[in-house]
Amino acid sequence: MTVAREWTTLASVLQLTDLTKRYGDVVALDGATFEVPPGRMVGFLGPNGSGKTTAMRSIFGLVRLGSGRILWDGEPLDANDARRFGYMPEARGLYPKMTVGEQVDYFARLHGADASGARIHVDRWLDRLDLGERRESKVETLSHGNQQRVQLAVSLAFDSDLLILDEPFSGLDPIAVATMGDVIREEARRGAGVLFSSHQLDLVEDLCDDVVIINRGRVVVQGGLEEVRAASPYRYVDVSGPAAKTRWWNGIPDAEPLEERDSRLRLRVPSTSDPAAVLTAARDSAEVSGFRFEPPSLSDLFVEAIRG
Amino acid sequence: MSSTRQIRLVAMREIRARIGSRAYQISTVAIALIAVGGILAAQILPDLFEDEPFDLGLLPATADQESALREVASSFDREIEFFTYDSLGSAEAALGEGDLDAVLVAPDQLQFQDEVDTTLESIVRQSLFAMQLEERAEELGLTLDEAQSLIAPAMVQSEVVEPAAPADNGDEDIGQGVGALSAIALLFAISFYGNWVLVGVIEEKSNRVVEVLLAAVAPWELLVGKVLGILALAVGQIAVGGAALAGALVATEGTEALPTVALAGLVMAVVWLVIGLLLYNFMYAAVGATVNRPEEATSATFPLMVPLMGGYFVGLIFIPGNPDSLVARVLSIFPLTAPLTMPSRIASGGGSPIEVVIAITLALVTLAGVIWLAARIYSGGILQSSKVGFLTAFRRAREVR
Repeated sequence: MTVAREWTTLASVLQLTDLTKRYGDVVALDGATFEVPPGRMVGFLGPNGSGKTTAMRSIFGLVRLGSGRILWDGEPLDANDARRFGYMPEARGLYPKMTVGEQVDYFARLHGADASGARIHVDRWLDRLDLGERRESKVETLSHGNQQRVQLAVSLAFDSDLLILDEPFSGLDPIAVATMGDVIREEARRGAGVLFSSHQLDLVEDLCDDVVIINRGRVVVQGGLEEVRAASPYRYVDVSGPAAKTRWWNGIPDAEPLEERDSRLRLRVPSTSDPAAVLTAARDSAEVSGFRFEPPSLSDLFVEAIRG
Repeated sequence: MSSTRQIRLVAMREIRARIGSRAYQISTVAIALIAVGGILAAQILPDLFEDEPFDLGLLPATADQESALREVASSFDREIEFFTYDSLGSAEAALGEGDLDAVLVAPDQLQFQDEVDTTLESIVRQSLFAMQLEERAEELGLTLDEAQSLIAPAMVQSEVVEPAAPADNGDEDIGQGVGALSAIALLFAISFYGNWVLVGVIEEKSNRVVEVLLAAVAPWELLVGKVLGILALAVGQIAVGGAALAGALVATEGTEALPTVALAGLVMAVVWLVIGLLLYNFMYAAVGATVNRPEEATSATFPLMVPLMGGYFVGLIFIPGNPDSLVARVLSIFPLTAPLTMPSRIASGGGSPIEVVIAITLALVTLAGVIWLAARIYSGGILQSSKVGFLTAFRRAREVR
């Protein structure tokens, strides 16, 4: 399912088209096509082994694609463009014996900042990520969470045009997750496109503007989150109270119970169903103490996309 | 963003990261100490091995022998210190305590404590003979000159049809010594700094920072920056060693000692050092990219050890004595052994300027090929999470953007 957007009218879009990649007999990417527009947070979802990391690495030329095109602003992406992108790989990597400040400064300069610009970025990001006091500490002496913050500082250490973040929230405590989420959103507000993968779907739902779901190397859903939800062929009905224990939904065409527990019922119905008619049918069977009729959550969308 | 800038940034990080490390500081001090120690040893060791003067006891009856004995001793290139005693008893006591090597009891009687020193015995015998010659000549009614002419050895005049070039054995020995030393120093430098490159590459690979780096730097830029950074550190350490060496020379011998160090030889040694470090360090980096742990590096570096050790042994043992043999010629021109063998050849008096030019040209051409090959293997191996063969890494080399 693809929801069309007028992305191409925006400047500096990253477009990945028909990407293929095989590792021996294993197909990692099978014609994957999607876009990362500027200023948008794009949640990149998929089961393990679906091709997320391979697609992200291909943006930096870290895997040689079988075929496909990666365009930036409509032109083939080159090394100079990619140097303007921030990258946090799934397998984190820092120099353990370098200090936090030196590390961020080094990567800022590798990505194109001059000496004074790099210094400004270091001050800004270490301050923003609460690492100011650890500036002179060697990375190996930091906790896992703080190392993760340094990793983010490294990928943000210059005014990047695009951020590619592979599982940026894994292993973080809720406070760190909130900080990192805020920081990434600020970057999107500045105008940078952000492509981030995560298995924490609730978190992605809170953060992302757009969503790309990939399965077995193919993009199966993409578009603005709200548009994708609205475009779903299903609606989800939550009923609580005595009506949850009766089979009133037998009268709703194509209704499918997903969960029946105590006095709670969750149904999937066609999007064409009338919410008022569904509520009336429930009320006619027994008392209803709670009722919700909604488009799918991101988790629902994910399950729909992967299981069909 | 130019490649030069990226390479410079990588090289500078390498330099900054290592120059502040205790390992670099300790090894720099060690190299300076070895250089100073070498000069001091060269000053002290000859004195240690120089023959000490004989301590000879004289009695009133033999005291007049002193000048004749000193004269004969000088023809033996030896010195005698004389100690005169009033009595045989006191002289024997000094001999017993080890203060004397011998006592000249009478002009023809020499007393040792436990072992006869044949050199001292010969000096005394010859001195006595010279003294007696005059008396015997008188008895025979001859002048001393007549007697000396009677016993003078027959003279043979030798002519050389084609005189060989004047050879100074001292210089030749020094040249051979410098040749052997240069092979040792180059093997040490290439192995030492090559190991830095190897371990550095493996560390970046195993802690995965290389993936973050390669998002901003092309693999070949990362490779070249790392090798050049370590080359700069190596040259810095060697310069410190050289300065310490020159300082120690000036301190012990004065400034006039410096010009005796052959400048051309030194320049050649530095040229070959740089070529050798570049050639091998690029190869060490390629090897490092194909393994994941330092333990795996030993077997992976074996192909590099073959030319390295081969060149070393030939440069150390064979070339100093045979600088212009066929083996020496071939190995000093073959690019992978030339850095270890050519300086040894030159120091040992071999190697014509044209051979040196050919060897350097070949080494530079090979270096270009090695950089290309190493960059391919490095690119293909550095992002693999398991150990890969050279050929697999070469094939998997990603397209460098």
